[in-house]
Amino acid sequence: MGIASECITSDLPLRLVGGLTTGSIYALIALGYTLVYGVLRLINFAHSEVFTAGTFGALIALNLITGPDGGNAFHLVAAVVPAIAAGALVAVALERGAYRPLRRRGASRLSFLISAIGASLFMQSVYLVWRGRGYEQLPETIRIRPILEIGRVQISNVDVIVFAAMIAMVVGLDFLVQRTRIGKGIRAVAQDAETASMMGVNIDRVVTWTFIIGGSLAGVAALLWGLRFPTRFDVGFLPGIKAFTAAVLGGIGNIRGALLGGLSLGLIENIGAGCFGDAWKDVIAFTVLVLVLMFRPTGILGEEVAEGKA
Amino acid sequence: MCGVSCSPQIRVYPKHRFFLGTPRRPRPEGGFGVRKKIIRIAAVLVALTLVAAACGSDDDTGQNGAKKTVKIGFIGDLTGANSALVVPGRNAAQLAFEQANAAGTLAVTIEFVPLDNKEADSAKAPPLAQQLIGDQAVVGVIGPAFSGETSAVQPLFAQAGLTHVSQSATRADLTAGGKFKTFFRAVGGDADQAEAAARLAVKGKGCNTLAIIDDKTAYGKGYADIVDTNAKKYGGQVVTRESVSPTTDYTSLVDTLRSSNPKCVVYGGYQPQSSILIKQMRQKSVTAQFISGDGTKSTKYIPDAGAANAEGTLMTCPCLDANVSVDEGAKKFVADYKAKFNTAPDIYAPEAYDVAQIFIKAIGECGDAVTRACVLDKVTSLKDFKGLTKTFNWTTDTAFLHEVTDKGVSIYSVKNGQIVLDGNINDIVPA
Repeated sequence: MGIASECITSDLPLRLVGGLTTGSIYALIALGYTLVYGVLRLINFAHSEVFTAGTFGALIALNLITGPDGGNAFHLVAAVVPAIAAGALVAVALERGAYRPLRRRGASRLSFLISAIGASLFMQSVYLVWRGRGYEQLPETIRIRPILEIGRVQISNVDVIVFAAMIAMVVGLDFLVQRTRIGKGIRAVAQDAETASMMGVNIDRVVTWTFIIGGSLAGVAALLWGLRFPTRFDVGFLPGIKAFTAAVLGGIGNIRGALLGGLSLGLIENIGAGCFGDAWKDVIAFTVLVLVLMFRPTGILGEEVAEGKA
Repeated sequence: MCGVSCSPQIRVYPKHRFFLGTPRRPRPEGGFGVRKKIIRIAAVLVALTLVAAACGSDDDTGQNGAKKTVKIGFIGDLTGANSALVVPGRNAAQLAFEQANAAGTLAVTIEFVPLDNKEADSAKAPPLAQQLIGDQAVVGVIGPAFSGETSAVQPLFAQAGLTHVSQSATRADLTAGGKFKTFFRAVGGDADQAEAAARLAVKGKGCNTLAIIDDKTAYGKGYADIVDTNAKKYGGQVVTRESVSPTTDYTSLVDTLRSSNPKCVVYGGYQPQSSILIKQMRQKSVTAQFISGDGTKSTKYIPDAGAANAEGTLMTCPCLDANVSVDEGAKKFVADYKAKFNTAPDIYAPEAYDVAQIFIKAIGECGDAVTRACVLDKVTSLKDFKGLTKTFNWTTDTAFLHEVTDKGVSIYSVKNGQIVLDGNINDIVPA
């Protein structure tokens, strides 16, 4: 299983699709990390549990509205609201419970970090006690079928849905950050919080909204994830770390960086798995993280939420 | 740029500054006098605890002429992701012991002590083993259920002279070298079922190209390695050989399979991972024949994978599916099990029932003096014991000690949304 350049070129088209689909999920979750970092300079390590909450929200909602034969696309659309709500609620609860008390006290960055990790472990345990250890499948709303096959490259309907939904979310976020009042507030606080508050921006409200937006995006990612994979109490852990890696890769604090980082990481992972073996997939992802932090810590695009380059 | 998380002054104390100016709580007067009191109270508590412990242990020997109680332990994943492969065995053993106690012919009462090793963690098995070893009333153990945890506790049980018979730990090297005289395996091992899988794939299904995947566990990798060796021996080409830790996202692995395009995919690992994998394979149009081992043969395999995706899967298993057996004893077992547990007996339930019966027989032969040494002796000298699943005789060859001589590897397949028994491997694909 040596390193052969041909493994990259021969397999690339085949692995492109899978990489982009996986990368889209990473991008959506990475946006949550990037937004919170831009506004609070805090790595929200508990964001993986926000993602898991989204999967449970979608699971419960779909179980309620679909019959024993599964559901259809309408059920999927209907499940968007509970998935987003679950993600946003848990995100806000985190903000209120784990971070705001520390903000009030002017705590050190280390305290925030510890609180984030503690909150993450706490939420995982809550999920474990609540749902148990078994995997739970979301009721099938879209039967996965290939819709385009060119040679050995195969694009399925779910690949298209995930990618398109991700693009839509990123465009929507772009609009939100650029053209709405709350977006202006986010950019202001990200640039200079004290001045922003002096100019009349309500910092607490902006922070809350940042978490709501990040949590909602994670909720959408969770629903898209559930189209293909089952969920469990610890299902957010690995995508969470990978998405964090993606955010750093693209430039933490930079919205387009999260998009770029997510898609890049998905591709690197999938192609790397072909070259080195599937067992090395995660190693490759984290090696990328280390290399980025060593040689370009601000990421590919650098830190820029503040400058409105969403 | 700082954001809101750091303010100009770094505060260590909260705003209200409790610590300055608040009078200290007065210390208790007469320092040493108080300490003497505490030591006295502590001493009394310690003494009481010792007395309680000493009194407590008397209960096991029985009072008022009631029958003595001996215990048989059980270790396995009863509540984790793989519990579907373990719980039926626990239930079957429980049934066997209740039937034995009700029949009343034994000189003792058997108490069943199942211990839960969540997720079959080999690191967590030794403390559970110690728990059983420390309880002198325990004279035998059923299990552990999985290979990794068995390997972890074999030396401990051997040292304590405590007999343990596993109903489902199939990794080949568990009996290699005859190191552990207290371990007995009541089923055929992976050497047998993995060879059967390779034979089935290459000779039976004509797969000249194979992908062999394992889940990095002791069982999965052991199974896959043996399939690998045997497939090559039969002339097959292994185009993909991967080890993937249990996960939910198999996207890159499925892409690898699409790239290498094998005719057969053999998976060494457990349900639910095998369900998750076959589902993603079929969703991406990987139509290869899917073969897996006994870790996959669970009633949850088809519901988790989806009937259409699971269709055609072949499973090797050194196990008997009592539900499809025409044997009278097996039918009675199925009826009793259903009556008690409201569900059909799933994988390894009949094997665990047989193991329980072996212990019951050994305990019966020990009469009043049921000790670990006696149980070990009786189990070791077992001859031609007819159980539900096979006739039990142990191998004495130290190359692989205390295996069953009657291996019974069966092939099961998923047909029309059901797992059906195809037959013994030697009838389907002669060696």
